[in-house]
Amino acid sequence: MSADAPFDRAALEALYVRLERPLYNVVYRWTWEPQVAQEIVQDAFVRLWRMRDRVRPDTVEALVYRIALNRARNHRRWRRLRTFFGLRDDAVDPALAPDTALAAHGDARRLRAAIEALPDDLREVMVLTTFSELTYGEIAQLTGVREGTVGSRRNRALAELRRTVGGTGG
Amino acid sequence: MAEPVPELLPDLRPPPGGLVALRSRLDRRRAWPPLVVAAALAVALLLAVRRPAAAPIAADAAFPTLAARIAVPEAERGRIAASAPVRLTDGSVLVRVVTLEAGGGGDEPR
Repeated sequence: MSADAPFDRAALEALYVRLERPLYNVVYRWTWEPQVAQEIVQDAFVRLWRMRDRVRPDTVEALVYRIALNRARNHRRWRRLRTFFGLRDDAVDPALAPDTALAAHGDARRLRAAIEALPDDLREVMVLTTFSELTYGEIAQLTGVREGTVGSRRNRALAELRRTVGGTGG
Repeated sequence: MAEPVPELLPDLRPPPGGLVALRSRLDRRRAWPPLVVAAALAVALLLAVRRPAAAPIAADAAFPTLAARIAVPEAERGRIAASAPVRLTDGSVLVRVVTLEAGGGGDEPR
């Protein structure tokens, strides 16, 4: 999106097409439910559309990530509350469905548990640096830390994951 | 974007039909405000129509009713207490005034 282009429906839809997949991947690591993750991604774009008059082309991408992450965190909180009060049955693990390759290796459950065990700030940086096209500087601004901290948090998160699931590479 | 780590964070494909669903949601939202306004107006109209009008009451019926309703507490002694105005059938408005210091009150058509 160029700096002087208006943020109209076409621009919003173009942005959605470009960001749907990375944003979905980020949100999915909070919700672990494909339909919910997709709904949150769409909700972020609906909200973005409602505030289009205030959207700045140079920060719109970071903004939509921020909106989606906030929604994902809220969803997680509500899910925990519902589980705590027995209003939700977590016995079924819907998160495993799309990870067919991992499920085939029997690692999906362990991997999810390992990611779930990460502190939110580490997980946030890890998925943002992996999937979004945001620079470390933009992620630092979005998460409220220094740019150098982004890199160190990513390394810590990956090291923790590898230690837990015994993965390699990256 | 940092180097991907597919063994830890596989790049998942979102469920299909996302853009179509988004368009639908955006269009639905656009159609919402007029619907909400129309519904609010309908409810307000309904409430206004169903609201019972204050029926005038006969003067002789009003007096005992008001006398029973007005109670001036001890702390209010020496002051003047008045009921809410009541419109009577002859068109006059009745206000009950109580002056306890003077030993009583009166119903004053005006």
